[in-house]
Amino acid sequence: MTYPFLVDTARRIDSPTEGTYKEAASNHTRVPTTEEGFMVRSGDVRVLLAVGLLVVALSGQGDAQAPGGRGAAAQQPRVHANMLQLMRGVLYPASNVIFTVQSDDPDSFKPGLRPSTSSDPLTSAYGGWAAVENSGLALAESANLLIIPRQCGNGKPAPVQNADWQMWVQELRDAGMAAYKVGQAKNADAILDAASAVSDACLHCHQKYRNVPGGLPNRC
Amino acid sequence: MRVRKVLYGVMASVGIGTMFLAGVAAQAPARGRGAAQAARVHGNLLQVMRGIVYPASNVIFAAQSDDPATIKPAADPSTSPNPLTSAYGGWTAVENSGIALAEAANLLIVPGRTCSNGKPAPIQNADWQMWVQELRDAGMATYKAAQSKNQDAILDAAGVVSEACAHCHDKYREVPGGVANRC
Repeated sequence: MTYPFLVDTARRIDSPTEGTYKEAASNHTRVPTTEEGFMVRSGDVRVLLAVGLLVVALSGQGDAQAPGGRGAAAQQPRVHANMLQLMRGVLYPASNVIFTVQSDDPDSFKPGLRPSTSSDPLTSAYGGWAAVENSGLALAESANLLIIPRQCGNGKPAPVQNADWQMWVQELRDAGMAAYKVGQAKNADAILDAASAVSDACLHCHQKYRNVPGGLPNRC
Repeated sequence: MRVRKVLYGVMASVGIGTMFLAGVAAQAPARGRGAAQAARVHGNLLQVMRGIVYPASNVIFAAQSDDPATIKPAADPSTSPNPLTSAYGGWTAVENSGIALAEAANLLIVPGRTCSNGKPAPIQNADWQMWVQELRDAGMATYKAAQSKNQDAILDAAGVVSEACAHCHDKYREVPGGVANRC
């Protein structure tokens, strides 16, 4: 039997930080100045504006305006939450489904009164072992959210480019997929190992980035 | 002019030195900074829906009829699989589920994702992107409604979530031919 990380309820975030890569990048766009030798003449500006308007007008005739049309540029990820909020919104509930089935056989969960809207995945329309599968997959996919540049709970940038951060993100992916496969196999013995792998993945990262001296203000 | 040349020389030296030190740090095990990881696809769209979007939505829908403030914590809240009875339960669970929806939108635009029928998810379609944005907005509206702990506000927010789901599902899920044809 493994035990998940302890939770603390001391902190509550009132306003998430939103933004995009694009916005962040635009804030750092280098603007040439005349001192650097970039002379911009008013005539050039008029030509550029005319070309720009023509491009915009022509692009309006293409697929992008048609309902369901293709051709839109790939969207960039947007950040809606800091790391703490992300953990509590996605990783924590998915982990708890996996931890629960260490002691409670997923087959023993009866569907909720209204399974299609049950807030407990184990008693939902995709309950029991399917919920274990889905939660494993949720963990693996949530790793993609952990590598999007965002803030820690303390407002500092999350160290998403650190080599150890990336290593532990990979460990989370692997643990999630291991839980997914065990959920598919409906193997109650194997789920203990899978839950342990999830717990280890959490712990390895938390030991460095969460369980730090000074508590909440210092941790990511 | 001479002062400027000296100044440029100093700046160049500092720059090169900084790059050298950064390079050394990047090679240090477990401390260095590496290139940004690319997103990896582990599940198809149906699986992402069932793994993250569906359970988060259900927390929000549950809060329409059951006042989150009245939901009692589970015997062991820290490991409860039901967010509403967990350590971050009640209204906090509704907040967190709103965040989960908004962030899950990022997973709906990952290149390489397939639909459950094996075909590529149409993530570059203009309407797909519009409805992904609608999901983001609905998630954040829920987050804010839950912060206010106002059940009337959560009714509105749940309506917005429901509409965001329906708009996309109407085109990409509720299609003739059922599962084999739907995304």
